[in-house]
Amino acid sequence: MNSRRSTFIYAGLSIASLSCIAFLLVCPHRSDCLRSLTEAATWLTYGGQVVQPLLIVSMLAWLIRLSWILAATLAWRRSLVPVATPAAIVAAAERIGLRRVVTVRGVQPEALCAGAARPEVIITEAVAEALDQPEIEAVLVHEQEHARRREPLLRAGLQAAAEVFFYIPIIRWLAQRRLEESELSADRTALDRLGARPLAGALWVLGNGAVLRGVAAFGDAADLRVAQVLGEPIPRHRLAGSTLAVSATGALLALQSGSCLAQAIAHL
Amino acid sequence: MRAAWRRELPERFVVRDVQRLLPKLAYTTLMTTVSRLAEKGLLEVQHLSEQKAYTYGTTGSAHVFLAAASRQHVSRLRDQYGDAALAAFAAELEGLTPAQRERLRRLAGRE
Repeated sequence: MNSRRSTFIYAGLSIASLSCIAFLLVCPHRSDCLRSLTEAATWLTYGGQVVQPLLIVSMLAWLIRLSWILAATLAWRRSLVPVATPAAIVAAAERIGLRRVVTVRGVQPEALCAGAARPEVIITEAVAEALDQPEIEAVLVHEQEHARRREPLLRAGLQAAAEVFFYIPIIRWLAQRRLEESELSADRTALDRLGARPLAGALWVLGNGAVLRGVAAFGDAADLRVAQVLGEPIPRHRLAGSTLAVSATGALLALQSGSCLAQAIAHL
Repeated sequence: MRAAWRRELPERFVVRDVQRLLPKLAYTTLMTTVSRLAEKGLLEVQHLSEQKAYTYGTTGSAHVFLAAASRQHVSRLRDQYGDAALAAFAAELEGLTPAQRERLRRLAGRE
């Protein structure tokens, strides 16, 4: 896990906890406050009262963030300029049984799947020039698989969860692993249907700078995908002990902060 | 920028050269515009200290600019909203070992 991020999580939650404890020490009902601070049962009672509201607030925050991500993507999607689909792409879509492919203006060969309710495969006109027919089919099969699994909506949901529960970084780690698995799975579908050569060609062209660099949404999945297409053992990213430790501590600190806040409000 | 990319301006040009193409615009307006384009990295600026003047030249072709702009457009989306709501066929091959790259290139049948 990013050590800077974990430092921020620790620092933020620790400051919240300590500020709250400091308030309890100086609050008007000092003796009650001190008792509540030192009795484990009080912490547990308030903790129990806090879990449910914390979850409700988190769910609301998740829904708001998810809506925001989807709205932003929709706005971005609308900014793309549609053009007539080149014959090579039409032919490739027909061959693989893809009913709808949207071609947009773009000098970079790019292919993606976007849309929450009705995911669509979007491809730039440059793809027809940069790739041969089997390679275009490989790209379309890959994106078709993402559309079939409603990958954009799933990713948005996981992204929103990772951000809302930022203090539990294992969620981000799990989202990243699931994302990599979805890329590998979409590639496997293309491999099964078309063989390794077209997929390797598509990866080679789209992975060499003429790509949505960064948007790929899987960042470091290239090594896994290339290993798979080459028939090599697929490297696995292991869960770091620090991610697990920060997640456990983060969850505990968040609960403690909430519990402390509840006590502080009760003693106001 | 179109004039520079279409070679309607010399390879190294000064603001006066631009004004010859756009005589209706004031010199100061053009100077500001050219400076802004240089700040954005579209033009490369060179200071001629003995003549107390600046010359400009393009940093790349229109194609390079459009490619970079479209990449930036998508990168901005990622930066603002995270790796979400899009699933793209892409891979960053720069992180591969030279041996892996070579094997992939051969399998792809690329030169």
